[in-house]
Amino acid sequence: MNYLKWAIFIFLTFLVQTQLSIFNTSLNLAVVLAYSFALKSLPRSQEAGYFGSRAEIKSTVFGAGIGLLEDILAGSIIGPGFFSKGLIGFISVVAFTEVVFKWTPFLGVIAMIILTVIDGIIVTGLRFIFTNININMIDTLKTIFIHAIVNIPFGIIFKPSGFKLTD
Amino acid sequence: MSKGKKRFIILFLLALIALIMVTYQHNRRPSTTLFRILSYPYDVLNNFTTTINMTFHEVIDTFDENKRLRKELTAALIERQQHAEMLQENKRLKEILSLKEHWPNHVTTAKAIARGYDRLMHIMILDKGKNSGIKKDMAVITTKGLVGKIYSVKDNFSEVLLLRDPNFSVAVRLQNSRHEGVISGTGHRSYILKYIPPEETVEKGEVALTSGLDGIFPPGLPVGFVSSVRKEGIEFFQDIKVLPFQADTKIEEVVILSK
Repeated sequence: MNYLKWAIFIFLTFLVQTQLSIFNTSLNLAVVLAYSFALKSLPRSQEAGYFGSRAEIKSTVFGAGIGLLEDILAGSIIGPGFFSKGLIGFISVVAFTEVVFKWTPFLGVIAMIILTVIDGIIVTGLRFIFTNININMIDTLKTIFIHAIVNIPFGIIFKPSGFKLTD
Repeated sequence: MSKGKKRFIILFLLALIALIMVTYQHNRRPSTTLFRILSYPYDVLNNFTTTINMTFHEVIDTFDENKRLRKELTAALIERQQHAEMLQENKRLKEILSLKEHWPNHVTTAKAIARGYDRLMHIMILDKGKNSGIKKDMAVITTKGLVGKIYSVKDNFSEVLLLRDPNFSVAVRLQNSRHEGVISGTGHRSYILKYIPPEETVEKGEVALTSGLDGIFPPGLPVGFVSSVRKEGIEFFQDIKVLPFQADTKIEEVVILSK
């Protein structure tokens, strides 16, 4: 049931991402997907006694899978999304176990902005390096900025349920 | 294994796999079959979303078009109405103009702008007054006949006492039988023709014209037609009712004639 829920969630996310645009800029909701999975996997791993590393592996694999799917859907080179989303999943868990010990809406917003910016930089950078495409820096920054702004509400919506520091 | 080492391995593996994939594609494009397999979910999703998107846009376009067409239709209807109104006005003005040529004692033409506010009198207000040469007791006519007489005059508007008012009387002559009488208003749609003795024969439908004997109205103006004649149960004169050729509620433009 949980897999089905995530499958529907992934499908809807990519449906929205591929169809909606703001100021002629498509959205970057895959980051939200990787982030939300990371937050949801935290308490479960905590209960199972594998707090930290188990959640890190799961989130990284999930994020990488999402990134791979995004790369395929984008029709461009496969790899940048895979790496960046995997990293987002990994960082999300590490951030809420090592850096931030208590979730607040404000920290959720800050985390979402930082993760979106990291994703934008990595994907753009890797595509620039490996595909030799011309990138307009201003347009890229504008795109990353719009992505971050759009993702801000998700930083408030998604939170780890019963998240506590155990170490 | 320490937490730091575990994390390093996770990140290292992630970066390594990504690097291998990117490098592989950088050196040579993946085979068509592989690309087709990988892009299959994209094709399915894209087809699905494109269909939804197109349907959605078509619906929105239809709504917009519907809205625009409604607007255009309303504008066209208003324009058509205005055009019809102008045609009617043109026709009326032409008729009024013909009156001007027909009556040498023509003073001016005027527009009916309101009905009188006095409940006891049947009054119509015209948009012209003393400044246009209108004087008290002048005859007011249309192409269909007598309307009334000027009751009071101000500088820029005047009041007309209508035929139907009980205070209004006009000397008339029946067109065929040539009998003379006086038509008075009754306050209702039909008027009363007075002073026709019982021995005279008056036919229904006979037209009553102004005789000019009252010294107010020029002779020959149509006033109305006989609608009913009663000789039974009367004392000195026949009870004759006359209907006007036009309802005073439909009057829009009039001509004012001097004596």
